[in-house]
Amino acid sequence: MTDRHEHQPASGGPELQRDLHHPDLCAEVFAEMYTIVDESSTETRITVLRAHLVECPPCADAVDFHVRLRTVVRQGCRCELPVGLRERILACLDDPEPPS
Amino acid sequence: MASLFSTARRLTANDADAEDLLQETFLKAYRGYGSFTEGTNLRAWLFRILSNTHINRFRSRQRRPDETDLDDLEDFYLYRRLRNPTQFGQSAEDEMMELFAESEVIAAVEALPEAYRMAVLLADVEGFAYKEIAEILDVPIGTVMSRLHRGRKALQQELYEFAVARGLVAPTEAESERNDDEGIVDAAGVPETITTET
Repeated sequence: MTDRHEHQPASGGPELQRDLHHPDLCAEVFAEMYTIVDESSTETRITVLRAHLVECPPCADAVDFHVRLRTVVRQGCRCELPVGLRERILACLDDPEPPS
Repeated sequence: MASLFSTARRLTANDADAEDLLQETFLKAYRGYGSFTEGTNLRAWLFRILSNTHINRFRSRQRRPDETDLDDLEDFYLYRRLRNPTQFGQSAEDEMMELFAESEVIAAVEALPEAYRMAVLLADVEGFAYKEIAEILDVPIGTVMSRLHRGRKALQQELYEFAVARGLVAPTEAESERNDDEGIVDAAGVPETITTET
């Protein structure tokens, strides 16, 4: 599966390679995909995961995909206020009738 | 107001109901303004009224998803298929993002079971934080995260079905077989066993 991707050789020292390329981190990125996309991870957590994303293109790509999908949904779901609705609501607030 | 209307429109799936919902929301907010605590989140407060009003208005029609069925959906459904190297490369995915018509995105969102749709709208469209969504829906944060997770799984599957229906991708053999054999997923990609709340 996609989150079981092979790693490319890392840049950086051996310490960095071991830490940032731990296969568990890939699984963790997928497990925490939505908190990453929603920017709801704790700061400590996002620091660890972002460091991994810099070193792991497949994970970075997966996160990017989900960020873009979120944007597609946001843009698709927005709609304009119908003409006159604002005025109708304001008029209703000025002279509220009990709801039938 | 436009942002409240967008949510109302996607919740009710039609213009007239959305207008009524928004009007009633503002009327309730106006009458209940005394219960709003100055300095707290006014926007979240309005969305909470919108959500409660919608649930009350449409309670008879409200459908509750079978959570187990949504659990059965695969995670990252669309992503995994777009990233399957035998089907797609990077450029094809870029194309995909542009190829989903607005109407398809809307249809996919509107097909989501109510509770999941609300969570996805509040997070993806309105950009509320988990904590705010928890307050708006009056559920624990864990429930918000779980609804978002399930809603997004279903959404990815919906969008994938559109891509297949338009011939943009071919379903994998395994998928064709699985769907034929078990019939667990309908054409819209949402489990059929949805119970109607009484």
